[in-house]
Amino acid sequence: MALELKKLNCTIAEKKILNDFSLTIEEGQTHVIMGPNGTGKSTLSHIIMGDPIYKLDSGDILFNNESILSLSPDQRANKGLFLSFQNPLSIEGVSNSEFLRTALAEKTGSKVGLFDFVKQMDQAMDDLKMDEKMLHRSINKGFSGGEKKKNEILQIKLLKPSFIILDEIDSGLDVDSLKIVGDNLKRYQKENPKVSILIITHYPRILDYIKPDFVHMMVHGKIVKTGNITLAKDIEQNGYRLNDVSENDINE
Amino acid sequence: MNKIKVENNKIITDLDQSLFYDEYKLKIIKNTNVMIDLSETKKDITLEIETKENTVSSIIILSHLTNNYFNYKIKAYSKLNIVHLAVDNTDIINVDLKGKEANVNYHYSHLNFKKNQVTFNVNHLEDDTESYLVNHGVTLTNDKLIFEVNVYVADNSKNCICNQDNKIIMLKSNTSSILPNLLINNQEVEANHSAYLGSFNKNILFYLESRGISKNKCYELLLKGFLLGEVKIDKQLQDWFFHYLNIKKV
Repeated sequence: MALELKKLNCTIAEKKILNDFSLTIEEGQTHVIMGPNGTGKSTLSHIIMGDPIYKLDSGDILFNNESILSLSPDQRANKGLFLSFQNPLSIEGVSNSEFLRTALAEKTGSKVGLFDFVKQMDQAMDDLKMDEKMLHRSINKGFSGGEKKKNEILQIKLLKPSFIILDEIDSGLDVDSLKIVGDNLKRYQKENPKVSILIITHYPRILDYIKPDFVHMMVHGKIVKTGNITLAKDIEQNGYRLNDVSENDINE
Repeated sequence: MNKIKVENNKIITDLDQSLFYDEYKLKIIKNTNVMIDLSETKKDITLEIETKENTVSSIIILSHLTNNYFNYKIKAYSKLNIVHLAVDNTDIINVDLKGKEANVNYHYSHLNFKKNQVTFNVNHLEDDTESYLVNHGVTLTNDKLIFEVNVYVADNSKNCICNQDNKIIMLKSNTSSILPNLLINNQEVEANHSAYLGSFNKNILFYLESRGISKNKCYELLLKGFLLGEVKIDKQLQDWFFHYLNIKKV
């Protein structure tokens, strides 16, 4: 299996964020997590990636059958994990090209020349309809919401992860940008059939491009319902109907 | 590029007709670029730099382990872009904007190991003068760095613009401080000042690490970005400056 989340528990400021959260994602599968605001979806994505701000109370995370709990975020990334941020950060003074070349060098263990790198990026940027100048600007500085998300996909195309977490990839995207991002992800998935994807979203729009194997509804830090694309459409139409989710569902 | 290099008491100059140098006084006559290399002298330097009217020039200064005094006089309709890379210096920098529309763009980057203070005094003495100061320092030990930045606008100087951006990244705990002072005596002025002391944002570190970049490399990227930003200088000069950053120890 690609990723196994085993009974994850996380408490922040005395509030239970993850409550015995368990999920297994096999190689090549696409899973979707939907849930109301504040239910712990983004926290989950940061915990998987090893954000030191969050500490697990208990539980384990296995990636390709190996616990990654003791690994730093960079070690997790170099094993093939990638988190596309809900709000990608702007970093003044560090150019996109320097950042990406460094990330590539860390992954491959060898330095990449600027000329070869730009050549390599040309096609990817063209696919994403990104202006070449963005490569030489500070990371995400002055980028629109859509440009930031495209920059995340650019990093996926360059670093070629085997497990991708998309945290609200569709937020901040207009219809045209969503299509570009969706098409690029779809192509990446087609070219890399073993890649697993975990999509965290509020809306099923992105699922027009990436077909999910499973859709999960997350409430109060755990999965309370699992289904297929129909569940996502149902949530979009009728909301989460939290009154229908009993305390028993949550604790089961 | 024109060069002035001080090696102990010896001064080596390689200058064209665009500027004139004599006894630590430099006069810019025409648009020019000049590098002032004080990195290999232990002598404290007092340097006067004056521009003629209607000139646009760039200066790069390298300094290391000295206490220096720089006195700039910028005449009307002249602009001076200065990149100053300092390692463990105590500097006093005075800039007089002496003529209408005189303009200074000063990017000061400091690597700090011992206790140091850097004092800027920028005087807007005429109308429509502009100053843009970026003072970025990194403290690598428990010794403090102080930035005192005084920008003065005279009461008869209208329509001036004065901006100062002051930041110190502390890689070790210390009592560094920033005093960002705006002393403005005229109502028609656009002024901004900022001061930040502390470490790099943890979310930014996580973002970089989540792309497979080790913590040491993240610091290297962030420090270089912080100290130089979008300033473009030769790789040789960057290498000189950044070799003082022992990232492994960081």
